[in-house]
Amino acid sequence: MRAAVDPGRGWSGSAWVWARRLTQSLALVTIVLAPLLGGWQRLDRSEMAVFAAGGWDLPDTVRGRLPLGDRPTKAYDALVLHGGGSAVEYLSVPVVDPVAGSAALLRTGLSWKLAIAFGLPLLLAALLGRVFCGWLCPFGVIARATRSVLARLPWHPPVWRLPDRRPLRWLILGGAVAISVVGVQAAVFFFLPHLAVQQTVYAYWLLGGGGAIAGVLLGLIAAGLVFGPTAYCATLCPTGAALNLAARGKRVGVTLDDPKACGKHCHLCDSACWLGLHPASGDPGPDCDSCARCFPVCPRDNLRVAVGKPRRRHLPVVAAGLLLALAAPAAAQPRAPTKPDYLLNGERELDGVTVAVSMVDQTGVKLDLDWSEAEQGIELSLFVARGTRGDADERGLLPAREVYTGPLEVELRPAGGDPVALSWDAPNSPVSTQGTEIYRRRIEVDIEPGDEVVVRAIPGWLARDVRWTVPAAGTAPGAGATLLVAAAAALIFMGLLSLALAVPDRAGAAQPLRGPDGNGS
Amino acid sequence: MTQDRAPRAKRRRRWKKLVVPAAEPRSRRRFVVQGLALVAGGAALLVTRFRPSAWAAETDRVPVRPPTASLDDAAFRAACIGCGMCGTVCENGCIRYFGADEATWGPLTPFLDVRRRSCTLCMRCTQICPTGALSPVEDDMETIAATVDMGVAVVDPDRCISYLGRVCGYCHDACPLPAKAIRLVPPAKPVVMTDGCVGCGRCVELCPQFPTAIDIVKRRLG
Repeated sequence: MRAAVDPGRGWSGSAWVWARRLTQSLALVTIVLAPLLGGWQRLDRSEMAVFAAGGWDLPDTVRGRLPLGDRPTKAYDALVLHGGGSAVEYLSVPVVDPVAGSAALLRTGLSWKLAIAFGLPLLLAALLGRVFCGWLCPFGVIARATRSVLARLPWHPPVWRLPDRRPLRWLILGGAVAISVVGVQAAVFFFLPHLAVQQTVYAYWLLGGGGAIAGVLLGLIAAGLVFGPTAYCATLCPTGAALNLAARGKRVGVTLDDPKACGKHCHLCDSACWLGLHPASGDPGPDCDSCARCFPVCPRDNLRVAVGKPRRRHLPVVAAGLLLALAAPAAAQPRAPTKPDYLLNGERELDGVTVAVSMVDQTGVKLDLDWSEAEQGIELSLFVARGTRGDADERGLLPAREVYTGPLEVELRPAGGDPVALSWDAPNSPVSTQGTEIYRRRIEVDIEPGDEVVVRAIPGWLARDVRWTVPAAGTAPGAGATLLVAAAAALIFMGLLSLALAVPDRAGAAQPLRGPDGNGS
Repeated sequence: MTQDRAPRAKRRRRWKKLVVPAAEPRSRRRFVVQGLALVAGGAALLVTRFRPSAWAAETDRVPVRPPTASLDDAAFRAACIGCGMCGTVCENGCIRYFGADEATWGPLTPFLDVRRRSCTLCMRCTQICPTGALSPVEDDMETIAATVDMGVAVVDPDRCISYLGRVCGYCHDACPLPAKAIRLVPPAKPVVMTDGCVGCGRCVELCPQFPTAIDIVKRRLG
């Protein structure tokens, strides 16, 4: 590596740093902006998922100022940077995270598009090393921002020296792939921080969920406050490990311009390295992401990228923007819901008998804008029929089926309360039709996701009870559950980091950052 | 380079003061013990207190998948890597995802709950899918009518307000392919034309009856 000699000095250290900041900002902005534009173009059809799932409308102050009509769609059509859950498409070039997609790759036929999506990141790593980590990873931006904020505090938490040997990440990489083969992909998202960022933003804006994955992200950041924000990237991250594997034979990276010009025991570049590598040795190894963070700290400008290795830094302003974007929906004032909220929409078949149920929360809905009074309560409707639907006649009309019209008993079982029994003698809806075949009632019970609705067995029709569980509106558990996940994730990540830091260095390997006497100056 | 040497030097000093070696032999045992304890504690907290919000199946039916997904759901699950791109580009937000812990229908695979929000047939999801689980379709109604088959609408005459004796016709008014997929016979009884229906679910979303009198059922292969 030290043989790498390049005529001319090329870019200066700070030029590398600014180039890296540019790609980092672009990557982070894509992650935040692409789903946001997706939500914006939906505004004239519906509300953004994050609001709709909460039963809110977008605040009028915001909505009134937003350009709507065909402009959001045009803006979205012009967008060439898309980001999904574990994939992105930049300028029509698809890229998939190799670790998160690895299990899926085993069961999916290979197409040219998929080959590009999986091949690009690996090819990039094979040529340039872990440049993804240094130049693109959104968690990297957050971690570096956290680190820079910590460094500016009047009171400094300790910064732990990262060991050179990092065996735990191979265990996590193997475990993540093995677990996702089994089909529990949640575990993969748990351990891949950049996907946690992407999933959080994406799920919040578009899917009306994201509470659990946001908890994981919070936990990881909290663990980073204790053991160093970037310690996870260096010692545990499975994507980093996979890219490290791919980068074993890389040709481009950070190297010393002239090893003899280095001061003795200087190692300033070593202490600047956010991955705990040793650029002072002339070869930081396959983990080096060419972030160029070691360039400007060198008193002799002795480091550069050569065909034969590099690295990166923090963007507090962009990170603050990201946090703001995440916090904005939470800060928006929720208003009373004005749309009916579909709580349950179920249909089951049991021994040829169809039981259909619907539960709609009508609270706050006005059937007429001029009415001063709004609807209250939840409307529960049931329908029981049996037999095949039959064939249409020459006009296309379908024959009627045998519909149950006897007494019906239903039980609502809230997850944490006493069951509520409801009964009908006969169907009561729709009124003013020849056929009255639906059992309907307004109920004043609070229904939460997870509550059960049980239709009691009907002699001669249903041999046993039919039950439904009210599904969650979005994928989001409540704020309490998010905090719980965050706490659990923080404990797990802190534990793993603690284990990773306890790994002893090889005897006689790199020098510690501080002298053995413990005074570094 | 020279003009920012002073702040750099300051930063250098700051970091040098901060770094603490962790892996001293003396503290190594402490780090291992505290690490194991923290992992165990976090895992216990997760297991005992956290209930994953499993998608509660409301029907036993095969879920409606995005347009051009294979009618054989197992084949679709095999081709889908759960990357989430289709939901990002969806102009209507109708593509939803099963949870990461979904066992039956594939973790993180997309589906449509057409009763809550139906498909506008914009075909963006088919164009961005990186794996071929969805195959590209041009955004043109004739092409869509010829190629897309997400299922077929089925009317239940016992629940349908028009069949019960009043005049409704909401499903017909909502249909993006009127006279191709659905027609009304007097007074306003809806009749689905099985060959023309693409299964977008507009009729299901707008049906004013509860429980819905029209629903999308996936076709069987062959």
